[in-house]
Amino acid sequence: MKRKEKEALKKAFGIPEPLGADAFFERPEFAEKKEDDRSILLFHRIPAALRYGSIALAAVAVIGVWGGVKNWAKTDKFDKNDESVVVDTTSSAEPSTGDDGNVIIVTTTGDSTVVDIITTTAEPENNVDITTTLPADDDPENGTTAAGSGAKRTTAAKPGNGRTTTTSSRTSSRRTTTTAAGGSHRITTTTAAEKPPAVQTTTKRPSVTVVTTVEDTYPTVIVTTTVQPDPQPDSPSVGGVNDYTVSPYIMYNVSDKVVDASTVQNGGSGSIPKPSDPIEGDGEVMPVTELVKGSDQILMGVIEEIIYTSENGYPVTQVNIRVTQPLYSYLEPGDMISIRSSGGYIPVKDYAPARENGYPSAYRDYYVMDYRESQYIPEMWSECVFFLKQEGRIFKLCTDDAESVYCDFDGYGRYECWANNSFVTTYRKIWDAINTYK
Amino acid sequence: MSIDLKEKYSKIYRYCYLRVNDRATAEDITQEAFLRFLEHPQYQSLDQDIRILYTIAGNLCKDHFRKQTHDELPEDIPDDTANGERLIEDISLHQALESLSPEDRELVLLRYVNEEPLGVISQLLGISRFAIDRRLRKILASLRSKLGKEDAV
Repeated sequence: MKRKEKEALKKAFGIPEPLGADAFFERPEFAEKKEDDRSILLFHRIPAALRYGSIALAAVAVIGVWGGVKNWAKTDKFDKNDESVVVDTTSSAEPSTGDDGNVIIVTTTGDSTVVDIITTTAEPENNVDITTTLPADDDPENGTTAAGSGAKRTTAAKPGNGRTTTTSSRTSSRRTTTTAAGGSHRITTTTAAEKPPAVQTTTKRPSVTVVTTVEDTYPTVIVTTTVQPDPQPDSPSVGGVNDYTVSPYIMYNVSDKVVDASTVQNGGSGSIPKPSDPIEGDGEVMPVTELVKGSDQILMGVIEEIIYTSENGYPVTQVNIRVTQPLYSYLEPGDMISIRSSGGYIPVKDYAPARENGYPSAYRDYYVMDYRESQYIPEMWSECVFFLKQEGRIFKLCTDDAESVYCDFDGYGRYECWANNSFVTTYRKIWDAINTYK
Repeated sequence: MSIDLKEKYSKIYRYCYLRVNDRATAEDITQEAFLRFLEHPQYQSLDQDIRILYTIAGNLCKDHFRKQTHDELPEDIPDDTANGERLIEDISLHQALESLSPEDRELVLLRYVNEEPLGVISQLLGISRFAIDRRLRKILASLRSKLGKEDAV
């Protein structure tokens, strides 16, 4: 709408200007509140991007300075004339520790013995050999046998330039140690020969990875703990994936006898309607960023089943989808979930407005099709991105309408909003929004 | 007083005026809404979401009408039009607006006079943004058709 038209509308309403605004805001209540709000107001006047950007920059600067100081502390202890001395020790059950207390064992346990290994190696400024030890059950061809307990040792020469290198590997039932050149210019190598004892207990939160930095001794060791997600209640495994679908108490097998909702309410013609296609051209939809903010789960999936049910006399459509790509979700590819949204088919006799207001007896055996504007009408085997909210085991569209559904239409990562197919977004944009707001 | 606060005051006042159709009452309700807003448990700052103010004002308007049913009707019913307070220039547009339902009129006021974003209106009325957009388009189409007919006459 043009500015001129808005002005005309404003005048057409004929609302006189208020008179007491100035005097009202001079009252002491507002003076006090304004004082209280001043700090908040000033902060909020800075654009949000600038606000959060400056906080992030400050955090990066602090981390950078801290990292730099630590690097300096490590590299400063080396001298060009230093020579490396390799000392082998073997440990069978207890965590191995070097002479300077610099070796720390990183062990993670879950239901089975799964260990994440992070090896942190501090390199000297000049060419100094760093010795890394592999466990006994590693590839034998990659190492040379060291004395005692079948331990194997691999030696690698790394020209250092003062930087700290962190490498990691993941295996099961494996134990390793961290080696580092310490202040005494010695490199300590520890070999583990037997299965390690369980060292750490993990929490049962459904988070994926927790990274903790341990700084009690030099060098710093990053401990990575992998937490197994809680098993979902009543989630039988089907073909190696989790089936989280639910069966509604009422399921309708919709016949060909279908009437439009308005027809039943108004006693009209009773023609057989068909769900309308997505609206073309008009209708502003919620931006993807807002959808991302308002969603608990964001995922891509293929509709494998459509079930018509009802809640409180109004139709509800349930779709069972197979997750193809969880964008922001605890679900795995292949999992099955149920999504419910308002609108669908319901027998006339169960339809609340028809029950309340009465309906032509000729439609007693008919089904009412009640898909109002902007409601999502699913199609079998279509692959879409769903922005969802979780309520127990049921997932619902986050806006309860077709604004929350984006379907792939060209196979090139472009998705159109089901509510308005003139609104197109890309996989990249969705992904960026998730990274920004989640 | 900041311009922003004054603008909010005007918006709430217009919203109330549309309902009660009396300047003094609308202004009283507006001020009461602001005072209650300050005491609201969700209050953080005066720059906060205007939606809470609209909700309080709407409830106060309802309270006002509820009270009125118990009072006797006054002898002289205030008539703003007679007092010359209404600044209507486009009579035909005004008549077209009057022909709308109160809900539709309120929607037009919120969107095009108060210029509230669709997100705020959708939260206020409990309808999706998409539905509001559709409804507004229908209202505008009906207004245009009415004005077109009158022009033809």
